[in-house]
Amino acid sequence: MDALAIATMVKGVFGGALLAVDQPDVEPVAVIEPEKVAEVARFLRETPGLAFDYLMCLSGFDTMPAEEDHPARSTAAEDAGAPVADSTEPTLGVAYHLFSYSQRHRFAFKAHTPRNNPHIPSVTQIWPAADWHEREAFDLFGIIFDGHPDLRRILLPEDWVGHPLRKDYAAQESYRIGDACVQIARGW
Amino acid sequence: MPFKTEEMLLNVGPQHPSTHGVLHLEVTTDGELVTNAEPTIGYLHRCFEKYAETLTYQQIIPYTDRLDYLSSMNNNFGFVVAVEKLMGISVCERAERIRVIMAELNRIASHLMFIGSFSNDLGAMTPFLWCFRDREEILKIFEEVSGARLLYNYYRIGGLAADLTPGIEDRIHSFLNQFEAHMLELDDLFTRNAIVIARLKGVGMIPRETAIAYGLSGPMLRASGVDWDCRRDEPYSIYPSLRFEVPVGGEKLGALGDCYARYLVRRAEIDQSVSLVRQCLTDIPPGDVKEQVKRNVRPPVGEVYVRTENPRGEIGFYLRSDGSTKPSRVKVRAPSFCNMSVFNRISKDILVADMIAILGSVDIVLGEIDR
Repeated sequence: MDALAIATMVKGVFGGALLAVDQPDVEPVAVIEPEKVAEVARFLRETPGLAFDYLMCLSGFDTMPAEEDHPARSTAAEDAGAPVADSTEPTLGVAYHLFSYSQRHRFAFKAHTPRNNPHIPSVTQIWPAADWHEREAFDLFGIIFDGHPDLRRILLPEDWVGHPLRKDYAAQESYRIGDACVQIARGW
Repeated sequence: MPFKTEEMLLNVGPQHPSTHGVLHLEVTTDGELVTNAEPTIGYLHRCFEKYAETLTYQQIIPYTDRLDYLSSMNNNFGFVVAVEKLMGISVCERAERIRVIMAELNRIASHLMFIGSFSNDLGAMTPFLWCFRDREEILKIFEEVSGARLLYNYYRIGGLAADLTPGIEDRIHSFLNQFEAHMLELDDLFTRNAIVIARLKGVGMIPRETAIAYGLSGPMLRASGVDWDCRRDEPYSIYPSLRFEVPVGGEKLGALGDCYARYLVRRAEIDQSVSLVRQCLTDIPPGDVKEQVKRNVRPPVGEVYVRTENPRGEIGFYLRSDGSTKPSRVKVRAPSFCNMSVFNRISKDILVADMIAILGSVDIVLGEIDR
């Protein structure tokens, strides 16, 4: 089924929870109310005609534009013609890319969540594949997935401070050494 | 009098030959039986995704080499296809042909690496040496066209870094002829070996539903009986014009979803890749393979998720562009990452030696799990 038709189906069931459909001409991405993510996901998974049994990708993102005085950014003159990505309040978000092996169609949706208190319902009960992906998004963006059975860091050390893929993350000068390491060093 | 036993915690890795890199398995054992095997990853985390946000699109390509470092060509391929889709540009026939040749040769090299290390895990040294002999020839071909043996940085957005060198077609042809004979020898030594079959048959079964639910892809998925290959079913590049079969586990290739089926699927894919390279080599049209775009490409504002078929499964790139020369987000959906997430689920109530066989059959590369 066409992604726009699927978005219309979701709209029919969830009404206002489907806020918009981004880039409908290229690769449509439905924007969903964050509280409704798990319900929409279950609907997409369990409705016979949709049957999205495969979560291809789950990725966090940050809509904050990169700092203009950041040394890695190109100069202001070069960027003069570039449009501003998002004029509204920057948020964190999660994008879900789905595929159905029985129906052979794909669908994408995303949800935005505030930067100071990012919460999104977990979809691990619907797709076990989400387990590690959600842990990664928690690790690197600090998004809390409510209902995740084992939400802890996956790539970074347990005692790491901060969430590096946020655009306002400041690189640390030193790594906080665990107590055991300090003791070993003193023993020498 | 009852005999008192207790569970034992066994640490496999982070540095252990059978973990294929720095992977830490926290294994709980009850005698010889594994009751739980919890993987700890992240030892190789190099902040690829963070770094990519500070680089221009062309500059990211060499970093994708280092994701799955056993199939760098395929990583390059996936990334440039994603950016080209974001920009809505296409590439000349000659460049696409060469891209597919290199990607399929790299698939062969990667599967050879799998067979070699897998047999090594099972305690057989000879196939490892045989596979590396043939892989060496592929690396020499890559060195001639790209200048590097492992990290090629050969694909460009809108083209390739360099054209084929003169006479390389003949060299690839003669390699393929020799290689096919070597593979028949390998079948006698390994594929139809009674000990190999006894070690692998029925071990680490992954049912079809579990494979899909955990997001497995590539040979892991096909061994469980799902007939899906991005190259055929969600085609990119010139794959629609090529003829090839997709090996699927089941009646023809072992039991459904066991370690032996995963081996046989990869073994059969090697033959298909040989055929694909031969098809692409015939009558390569002339053309300029150098990129026809500016060095600093500036894709329009938007987002795209593109997946391509790597030797280990689907590599997906989720790109968000804010209209500038640098991406706002690059997420890599690494096939090994998803394939590894099922490991704990299938490593329950099995022998320790079988756990090593299962880990070998997943064919992980820590470089793309940790990124």
